[in-house]
Amino acid sequence: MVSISRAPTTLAPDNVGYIVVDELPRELVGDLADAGVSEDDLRELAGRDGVIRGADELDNLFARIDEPQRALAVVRGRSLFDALAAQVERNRIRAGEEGGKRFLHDPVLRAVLEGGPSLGRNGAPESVFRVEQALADLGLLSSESVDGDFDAHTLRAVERFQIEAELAVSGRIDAPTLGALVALSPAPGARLVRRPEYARLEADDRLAITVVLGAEDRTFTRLSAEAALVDGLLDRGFERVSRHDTARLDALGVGGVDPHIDIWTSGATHLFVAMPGASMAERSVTSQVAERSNAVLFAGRRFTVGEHQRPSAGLRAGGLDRPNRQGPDYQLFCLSGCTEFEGAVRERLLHRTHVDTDLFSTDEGAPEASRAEHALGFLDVIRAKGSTDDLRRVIGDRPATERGFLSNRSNQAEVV
Amino acid sequence: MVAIAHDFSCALAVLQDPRRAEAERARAATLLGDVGDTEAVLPLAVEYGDADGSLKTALAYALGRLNAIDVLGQKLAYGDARSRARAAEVLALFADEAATRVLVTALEDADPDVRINAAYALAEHADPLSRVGLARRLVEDANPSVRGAAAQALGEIPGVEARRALERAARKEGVVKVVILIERAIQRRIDRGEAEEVSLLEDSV
Repeated sequence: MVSISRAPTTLAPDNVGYIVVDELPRELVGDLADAGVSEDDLRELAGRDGVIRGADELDNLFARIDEPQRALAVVRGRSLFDALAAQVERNRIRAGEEGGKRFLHDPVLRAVLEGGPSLGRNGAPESVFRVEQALADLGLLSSESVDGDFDAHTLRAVERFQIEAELAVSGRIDAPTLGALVALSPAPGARLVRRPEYARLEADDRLAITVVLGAEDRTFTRLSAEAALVDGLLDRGFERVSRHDTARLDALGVGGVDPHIDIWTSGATHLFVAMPGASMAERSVTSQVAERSNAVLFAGRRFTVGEHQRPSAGLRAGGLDRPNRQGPDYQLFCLSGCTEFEGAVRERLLHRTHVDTDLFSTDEGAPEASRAEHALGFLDVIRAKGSTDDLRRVIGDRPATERGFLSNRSNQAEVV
Repeated sequence: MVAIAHDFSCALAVLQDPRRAEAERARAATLLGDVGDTEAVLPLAVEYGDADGSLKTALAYALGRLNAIDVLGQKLAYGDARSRARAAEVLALFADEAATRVLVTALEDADPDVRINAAYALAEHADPLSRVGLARRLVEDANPSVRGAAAQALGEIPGVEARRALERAARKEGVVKVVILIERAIQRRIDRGEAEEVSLLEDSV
């Protein structure tokens, strides 16, 4: 564990600094390359926003520096660590200066920063409003919820921010939280654009992936889809864990999963697979599994959610019908060949305020919509550090059938 | 002759247009049956798989007039490999003993794709008549994809003998994919209410 921490300032805990890859001096980039960390490595660590932030990402960066090179760097009297730490510090101060403007003139928040009582429910509306605005600008709260009322939406946003800033999760605005907000929130009037980076979210166990593959409701089709899925998962290096191998299931931390669900594993990735041929019972248990798993490949039969059936078991896949505070922060739904189900899911998602959601679907009539390859294609993109755009390409160039992007910022369908 | 050909192609176009009213498509299906051209069998059968209501009734009438099972059986026996595979797929729609017998024969086809499609079609029929043929493919076929398809199909065949055939094969099977498909086939039977007897299966895991 390599730490770059310096003495924390009063405004920011020591783990909220960051490095902007594009702003690194070329000489430092060269030194890092000599030490085994190429510019591509830096960009991979930084992800789509080009920023390496937080203790984990910074530790990952340092862990990649070759051991002999570290020693060499010290011998040469030029420590890479010091150079990088200076970058972190520079950005921390800059962020603090920009973000700090938000709270300068609020006596309540100033008191919190100075160690006074923390802010929670029944907090002064003007102060709560300022915090909510910062959370909204960070993309953690819908703009409709910026109202000075410390309600459930605000609470959830505070908790998510505390998780992201690696602070103790209290749900209250205390000095470390406000300090991190000062350091990390953009200048007033600016907004961070948050786009999910699925591979990183998945690695952090914060992403629920549900790939729902609708198949024609015929034995012939679902059996051929089942065989194709098995082939595809084996080809991708996944191994199916027998439901009778309880020791292995426990070791993987997935013991007790309903036997209707197949567990497939490859490295750190576990898939919970409900395959074609799913009975109603199987669909029902999928909902339970989805709530505690980080990935579900759900290739069920054709969904028909009619007037009298909804929301039914299928809809509960992913815990869509109730808040799941223990669940993931992001969810990715890829629906293929299940148009009616997609409509019902979409309706539910509009009421789900605490989880960022990407929902992709294809038209039921699309010839490739009911193919196992489609679901496997999603899986490939996600595992290859895919982005929203990559996923869109997998869906294919069919804007008329793409259902768009849903996020909890406004929690309204926003077609992109 | 020209008029009949015109009727045939017009009726086919109407039948295959999902924007047309159901009654109109049903009339087209009936006409195709009455014209008697067996070229209509495949398109009629494809529509039959998706249809319901009066259209399904009309399609069944037309397919009966055209002796569809015989026609498809002929294709399955004498067509090229692609036609045989397609015929097997379409015969899945006809859960009829005659069709089942034709498909059981096709389990011995030289082409593995035909054998796989025949197995899936027999799964759709779920007729115990096919159990012996499927069990033989499961054990004897050199192609693991065919063995897997036979296992999947046996999962749909009622009767304890089909279950035993799966469990016996699980103990001998060496290809992971086929073992998985056997296990899943057994699991499906359990899901349907069949008693769980895992001792044999556990030996194979």
